[in-house]
Amino acid sequence: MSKATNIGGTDVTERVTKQAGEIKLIVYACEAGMGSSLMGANQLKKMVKKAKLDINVVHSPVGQLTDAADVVVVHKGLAKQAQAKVPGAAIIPFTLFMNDPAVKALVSNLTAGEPVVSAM
Amino acid sequence: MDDSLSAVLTPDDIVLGHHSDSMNEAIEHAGGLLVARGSISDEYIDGMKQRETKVSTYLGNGVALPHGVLESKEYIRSTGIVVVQHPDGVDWQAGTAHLVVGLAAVGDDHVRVLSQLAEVLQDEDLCETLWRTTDAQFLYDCLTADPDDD
Repeated sequence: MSKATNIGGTDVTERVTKQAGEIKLIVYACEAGMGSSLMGANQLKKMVKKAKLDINVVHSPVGQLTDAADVVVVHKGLAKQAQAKVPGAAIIPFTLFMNDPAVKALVSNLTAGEPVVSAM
Repeated sequence: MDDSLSAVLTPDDIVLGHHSDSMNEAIEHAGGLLVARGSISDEYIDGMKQRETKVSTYLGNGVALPHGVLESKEYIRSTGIVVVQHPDGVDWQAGTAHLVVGLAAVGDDHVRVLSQLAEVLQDEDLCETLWRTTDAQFLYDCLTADPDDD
């Protein structure tokens, strides 16, 4: 568990932490769920498959997220909206639709069996 | 598969050597092409502009994927993709766009083209070639190849 430090006014002790073994569904969310999220989700799907992880990856509009999501990968501009919608999920914000370091780090984490801590 | 693919993107949907002074002008142009091919009604174009104010659709390597916000989906009549090459580039906030891929999608008909676009995007050199190619068929072939076929 992380110590109570204050980052940007948010108490990080409240951050959602998911153990690698309990992560079954990653949702790649965007605004409309039509274009950019689909591309990002496809790329993430390939990375997950390559790492031989038994995790389902889907894409969704941020407004239609459900509690089934263990991890939500979402553009940073929509991260707060995602967190409000599914407070129980670990939120991983990204800035780049392709090859984002945060997404790569997520897959490395999962491959190593490490827990995933929400970025917010 | 090929039937749905050709309904989504045809060689006629590719425009080379276009110039736009601004992102909104490029969106209006791409949106106009989607209107002309019967994919959307005019209102969708406002949704495309609105989307850029929320989250930019710039994908990297000179490619932008403008599409409407969720609420503008009701203005889509059928899935359509248009690809407009801007050799001079257009300032797309997050980067300079040389390939503007206008998208209106219902259902999953467009998944294959977007998967292939994702493949193309991984290849910086190929992207730069596509910014300047004068061969529309080559651009079309790149975007419609089977993504799992390599």
